Amino acid sequence: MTDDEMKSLLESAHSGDTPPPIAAILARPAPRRRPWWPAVAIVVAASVTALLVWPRQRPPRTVVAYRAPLDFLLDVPGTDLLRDVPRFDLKGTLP
Amino acid sequence: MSHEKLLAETHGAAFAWALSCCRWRRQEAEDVLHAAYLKVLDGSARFDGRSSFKTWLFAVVRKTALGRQRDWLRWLGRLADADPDAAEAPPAAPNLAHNLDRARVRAALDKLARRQREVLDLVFYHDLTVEEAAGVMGVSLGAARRHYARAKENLAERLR
Repeated sequence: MTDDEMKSLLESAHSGDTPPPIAAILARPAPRRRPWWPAVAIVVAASVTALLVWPRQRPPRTVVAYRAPLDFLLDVPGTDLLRDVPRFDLKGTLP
Repeated sequence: MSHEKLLAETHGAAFAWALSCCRWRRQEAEDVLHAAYLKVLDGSARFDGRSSFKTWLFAVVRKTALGRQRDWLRWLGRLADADPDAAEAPPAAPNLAHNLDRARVRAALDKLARRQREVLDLVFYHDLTVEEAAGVMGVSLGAARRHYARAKENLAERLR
């Protein structure tokens, strides 16, 4: 595309745009500054809501800590003896 | 020359530039122009003579338009107004074919990146040099040249 074609394209994009009189622009009332506190209030409210709603972090459930409801059935009498080496306090003498 | 006289001389071009900065939303362009003129007249934007008055005014208009676009409430309002041409119908042009052509070019321009759109408008409609356009856009000359080259390619591709 040549520069002349580009120029005519831009002119067609701007065609029909008659500017309003400068006096009308200058006579407009001065814009009011938008108050900043609604934005701050919304951010604070959203933060508080997020903190309240956010799910609490629970400690991960590990396999070691897990105990099935029927595990008590495995606790047969004498299990304690099998867990470690039995010690006999003979006080240095054989029976 | 007083600022009022300089503003009156450049008013037509400044309005066209404001329209381009506001993606052809006429009401918004008028608001931007009003805010920019106030900045010039109350001295909060000062012309130091390092560039032409027109170039400097264009930079003020661009900065004002960008500042308004960052306004979060206006941004929310614009989401509801998805089709600016439908919301603010431009004045009737002489014929339908002409209107269609304008709409097509504007749609293609709107799809370009902001700086690409700006550099094309400044160079081809406002007859600024790429160096002056760089000054208006607040970028280096090298960056402006890159935007210029890509913009020409992209616009031609979109209108093919």
